[in-house]
Amino acid sequence: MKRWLGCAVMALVVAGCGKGASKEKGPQPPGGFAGEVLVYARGADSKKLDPQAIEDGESVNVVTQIFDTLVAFEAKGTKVEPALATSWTSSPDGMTWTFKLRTGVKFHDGTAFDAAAVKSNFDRYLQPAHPLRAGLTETPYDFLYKNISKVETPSGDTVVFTLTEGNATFLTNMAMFPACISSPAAIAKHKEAYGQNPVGTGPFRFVSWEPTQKIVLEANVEYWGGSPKTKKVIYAVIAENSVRVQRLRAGEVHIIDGVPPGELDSIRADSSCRLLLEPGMNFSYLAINCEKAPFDRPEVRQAIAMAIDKKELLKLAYRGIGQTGPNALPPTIWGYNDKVADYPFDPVKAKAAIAAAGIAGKEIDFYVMPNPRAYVPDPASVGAVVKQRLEAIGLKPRIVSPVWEGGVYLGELKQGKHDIALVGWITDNGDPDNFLFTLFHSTAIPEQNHAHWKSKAFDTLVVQAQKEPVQAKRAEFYGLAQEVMRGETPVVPLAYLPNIAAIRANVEGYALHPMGLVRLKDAFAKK
Amino acid sequence: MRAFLLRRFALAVPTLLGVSFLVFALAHVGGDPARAIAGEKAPAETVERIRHEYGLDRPVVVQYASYMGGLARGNFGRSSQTKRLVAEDLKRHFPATVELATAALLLAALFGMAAGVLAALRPGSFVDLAVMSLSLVGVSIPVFFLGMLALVAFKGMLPGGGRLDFMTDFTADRTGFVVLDALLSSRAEVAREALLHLLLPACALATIPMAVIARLTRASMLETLSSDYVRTARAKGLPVMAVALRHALRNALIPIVTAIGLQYGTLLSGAVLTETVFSWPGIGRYVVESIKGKDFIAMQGAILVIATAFVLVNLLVDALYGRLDPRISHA
Amino acid sequence: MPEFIDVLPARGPSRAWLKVRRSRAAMAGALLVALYLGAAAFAGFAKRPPREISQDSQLQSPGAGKWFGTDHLGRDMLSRVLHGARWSLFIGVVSVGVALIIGVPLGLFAGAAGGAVDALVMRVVDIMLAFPAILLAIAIVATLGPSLFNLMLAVGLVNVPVYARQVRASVLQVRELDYVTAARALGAGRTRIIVFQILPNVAAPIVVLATLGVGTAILEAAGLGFVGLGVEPDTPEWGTMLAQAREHSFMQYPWTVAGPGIAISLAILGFNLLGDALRDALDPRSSKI
Repeated sequence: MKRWLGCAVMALVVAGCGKGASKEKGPQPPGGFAGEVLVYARGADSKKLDPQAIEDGESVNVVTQIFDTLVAFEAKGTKVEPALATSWTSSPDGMTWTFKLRTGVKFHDGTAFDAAAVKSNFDRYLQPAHPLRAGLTETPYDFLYKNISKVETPSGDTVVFTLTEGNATFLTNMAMFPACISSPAAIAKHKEAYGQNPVGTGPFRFVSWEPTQKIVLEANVEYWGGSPKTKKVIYAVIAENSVRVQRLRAGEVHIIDGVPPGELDSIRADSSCRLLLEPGMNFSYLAINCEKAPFDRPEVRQAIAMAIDKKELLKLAYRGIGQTGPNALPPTIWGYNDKVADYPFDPVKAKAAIAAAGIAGKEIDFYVMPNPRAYVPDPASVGAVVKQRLEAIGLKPRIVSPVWEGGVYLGELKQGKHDIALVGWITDNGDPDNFLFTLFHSTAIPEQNHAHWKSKAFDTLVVQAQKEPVQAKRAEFYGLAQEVMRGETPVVPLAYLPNIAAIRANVEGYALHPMGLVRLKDAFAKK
Repeated sequence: MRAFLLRRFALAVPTLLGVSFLVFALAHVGGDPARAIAGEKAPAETVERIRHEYGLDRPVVVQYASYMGGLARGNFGRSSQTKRLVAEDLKRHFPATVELATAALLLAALFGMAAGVLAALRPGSFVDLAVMSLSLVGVSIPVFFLGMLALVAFKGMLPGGGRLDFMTDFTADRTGFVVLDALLSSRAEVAREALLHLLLPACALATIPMAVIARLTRASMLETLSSDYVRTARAKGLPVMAVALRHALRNALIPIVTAIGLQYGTLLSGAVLTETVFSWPGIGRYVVESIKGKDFIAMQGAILVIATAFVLVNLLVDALYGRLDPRISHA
Repeated sequence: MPEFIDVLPARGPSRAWLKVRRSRAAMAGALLVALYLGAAAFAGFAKRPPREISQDSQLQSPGAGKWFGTDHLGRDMLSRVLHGARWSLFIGVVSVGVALIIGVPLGLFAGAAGGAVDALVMRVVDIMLAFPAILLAIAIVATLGPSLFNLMLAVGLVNVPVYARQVRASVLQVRELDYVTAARALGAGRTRIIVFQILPNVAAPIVVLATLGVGTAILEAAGLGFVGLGVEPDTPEWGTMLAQAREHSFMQYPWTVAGPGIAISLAILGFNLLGDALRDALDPRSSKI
C-alpha cells in the first residue's frame, strides 16, 4: 500500500515538471477580445441543441447564442427588428409574408446562408416525412407554426411564407427560438446526433459538450452583427442553488441564473458581485378546476381568491421581489388592464362563503410542482402558505406533487385530477395572446387551460383580438377579456416575478431581457 | 471451486434478466413514455404519432424483446430526453462513479484498518472506545446530511462539486478517470485539482465502509491476537506492535478483504445520494435524474449497468474469498 | 455473504435480557430510542405547531424561546424536529410492518415448501437484492407518484428480501431440530408445524432484524424525502426538511440542517445500538467477543 502511494506521489511530481500544453491562438477580431472566458452557471444542463426539438429553458439559452432567427426581439423589449432578414413586407390580409435576406452570411461550418436554407429549415420542421427529419421525432413548439402552408424562394435572398390564416402573432413567432436557422448541410451530416452538434450563424459556435457538466462555445469572429466581446463561453451546470451562489462569490463563475430568493441579501451585501433585477413577463397562478364540483360555482372560486393573502405570500414564498395583481398576464405585457380590482384578502367572508356552499371540511387535492420553475422559485413554500390559508377558511387541502419532468405533473392536470393547481407561464413572444388565448381559450382544454374553464364571452373576445391587426384595438378586446375573467375567477394570479441574475462585478455588457432571453454577444469579464 | 463459480455465474444470468424485466415493467407502469418524449406542450396527435414511431403501442412483452435484442448488440438506445446514445452516456458517467467509489474505498480501507488495528492493540482503552464509538456514529449518519455538513464546514476551502473546475480545459477521454487521465497526459495540476474535487465526496461516501471495516478489523485482530501462535510469538519477546502487524494482521486480512470487496458493491450503488449532494456526474445521479424525468430508455440502461456491476462485484468477492481461505470449500 | 442469526430454541428470553442490560452500548441504544419515542409522544407539547408559518420570524438563529431556530417560512425548528420523530417513527414502523407482512410468509413458504418453489422465491429475492435498495425505492415512488402511502410501501417492499431470507434460513434450521422432526413423526400437518413449531422459533431473529430495520427504514425514507420523493412537502419529516434547507441557503443558515440531520442520525444510532445488542444477546456465536 505504502509503495503504491509513493509511486502515485512520484508520478504527480514528475508530471508537474512538464506543465500543461501551450495555448493556441485562434482567430481574433480587430483589436482583440475584451475578455477571455465567460462562465455562465445554471441549475441544469441543456437537453439538446436542435432549436426545433427543444422546449426547456436551459436548451433555449444556449441555442440563442449559436443561432439566429430571421427577425429578432429588440434588446430591451418585445418589438422585432431585422436579423437574418434585413426587411420584410406582408400582404394586406396578413396571409403572405416576404422576407429579404442578409447576404454574405455563412454558417459556422462554412456553408452559405440563403433562401434555400431557410426553406429547408421550415420544411423540415413542418413536414414529418422530410428527408432531413432523421432523429427529429418531436417538435414541441410546432403548434405555433402550423399556420404556415408553404415556403417559397423566388430568389437566393428572398423567402415568401404563405399562411393558412392571418394571425397577428406570426412575425413575433418568427423571432422565437424554434424559428432559428440551422445549417442544412450539418443536419444532413449529423442526422440523429444533430442535437449534440448544432451549427448556426449566431455569435458563438459550438465547441464541446460534457453532458451534465459544461458546454463550451467559442466566438464567431465573423459574425454579421460584429464579433462577440469574449473569446469563449462556458455554460456550467451547478445543480445546488446555494453552491451556485457560493461559487459566484468565490469568483469561479461569472454569471448565474436561478438565484434562490434566500441568497438575494448575501449577494447584495457582497461588493464583488452584482444582482440584476428586471421586470419579467411571467406569472404564477392557482388554476381552479372549473369542471369539478364544488369549484364549478364562481362564488366558491371567489372564496378561494379572498382566502389568499398575496402580500404575505410574496414576502414568504417569493422573498418580496415580485408584484401581484388581479390579471392573468403580467403588467409588463401591453394590454394589461390596470382598472381591474383585485379581490381583497378577506378570510372571514371567504370562510362564510365556504360554509354557505356547504363544503366546510371538504378535502381537496392541491397540486404543487416539486421543483422550482422560473416563475415560481419556491413552489414548496407557496404550497405550504396557501395550504395554511385554505385551512383557515375551512377546507382540507392535501398537497400533491407528482414529478414535473417528463410531463407527468401537467399530464395529471390535463386529466383534471386537481381541485386547485399551482402553475405558471412565461411569455414565448411578448404578446397578450400568448397568455389569454393560449392559456384560457376553451380550445386549450385540456392542454394549457389548467382551470378547464369555458366562457363564450371570453372566447369571442380573444379570438377577435387575434384577428385584429391594430394593436390599440386588440388591447381593448384584451381589457374586456380580463374583466370577464375577474368576474368568473377561474384562476387566482399570485405573482409577477422579475427576471433575476447575479454577476461578478467585473462582468460588463450583460443585461437581462424582459422575456428572459439570455444574450452573451456583448458580455465579457474584464481582465 | 470452478464448479461453484460457474454455478454462481449461471445464477447471475437469470437474476440480471429478471432485473431487466422488472426495470422495464416499472418504466411502463408509471406515466406515459410517449408523453414524456413528446414534451409538455405537445398536442395529443403528436403524442400518438410518437407512440407509434417508438413502437410504444406494441404489447409490453414485444417491446421488451426488442429492447433486449438491441442490448445483445450493444445498443442501449437513445435517451428520450436528450437524444444522446445511452451507451455513450453510461461510458461517461460510470467511470465517474467508479472513480468516486474507488477513492472512497481506499480512504475507508486505509483509515478503517488503521483504526481497527489501533483499537485491537489495547481493547478497552480510550482509543478503542473512541474508535468503536466513532464507527457506530459513522454508520448512523446519513450520507446526505454528512455531505451537507461537509459543504458548510469546508465552504470556500474545498471545491463543493463537480470533477474539475469549469475553466479547466481537460477531457478525460482515455480511461474516463480524471485523475488517471490527467497523469497519463502529464497534467499534474489537473490531477491535483481532480483529487481536491474528489476529497469531500469521497470522505462523505467513505464513512460507512470505514466504520464497518474498522469494526471488522478490530474483531478479526482480537481473535488472531488471542490465538496460540501469536501468544507464542509474544512470549518469545517480540514487540507487540511487530507481532500485531506482521503476524496477526496478515491472518486477520481474510475477512477484512472480503468486507472491503462487499463494501465496494455497496459503494457503487450508495453513490446515488452522495452524487446528488456533490453534483458528481456519476451514474447514480444519472439514474435518479432519468427516473424522475421518466427517461425510461436511459433509466433502463443505467439501472442494468448498476445491477450488473453490483452482482459481478459480489461474485468476484466470493471467488476471492475462496482463494484467500482454503478452509472454505464451496462444495 | 449474509450473516444469518441462528435460531435459539434452548435459550430463554430472560437470559438474553440480562445480557442486554449488562451491555453499555445496549443501554445507550435503549436510552436513545426512549428519547426518540419520548419526542414522538410529547411532540404535541411543543410551543408552536410545526406547520405554523410566521411572516416575522424567517430564518432566525437559535436562541432563547426558539432553541433550534426557525426555517425559511418562520416555522419553529424545534417543533418540527420533534414532530419529525412522530412521522419517522410512523413511517419506519409501518414500512417494517409491510416488509414483515410480505417477507415472513414468503420465507416460511419457501423454507417449508422447498424444491422448485423455494428456488423461485429465492430467485425473486436475488433480483430484488441486485438493486441498491434506495434506487429501487426511488424507482417505485417515482412510478407510483410521491405520497406518504407510496413512500411506506416502497421502503417496505425493498426490505422484503431481508426478512424473507432470514425466515427461510431459520426455517431450514428449525426443520431439522429434534422436536420438529418428532412432531412430524407424530403426524402433525405442515401448516400446524409451521404455525406452532417453526414460527415461534424464528421470532427472535426477526425481532432483532426488525429493530435494526426500523433504523434502516428511517434512513431510506429520509433519503427519499431528500431527493424530493417523500411526503407532502409541508410535512415536518426530517428528510424533506433537509431537502428544503438545501434549497434555502443552508450554508448561511446551518441550523436549518443541523436539527433534522442530527435527529435522524441519533434515531438511527439508537436503533443500531439496540439491534446490535439484541443480536449479540441472542446469537451464541457472538458470546466469545
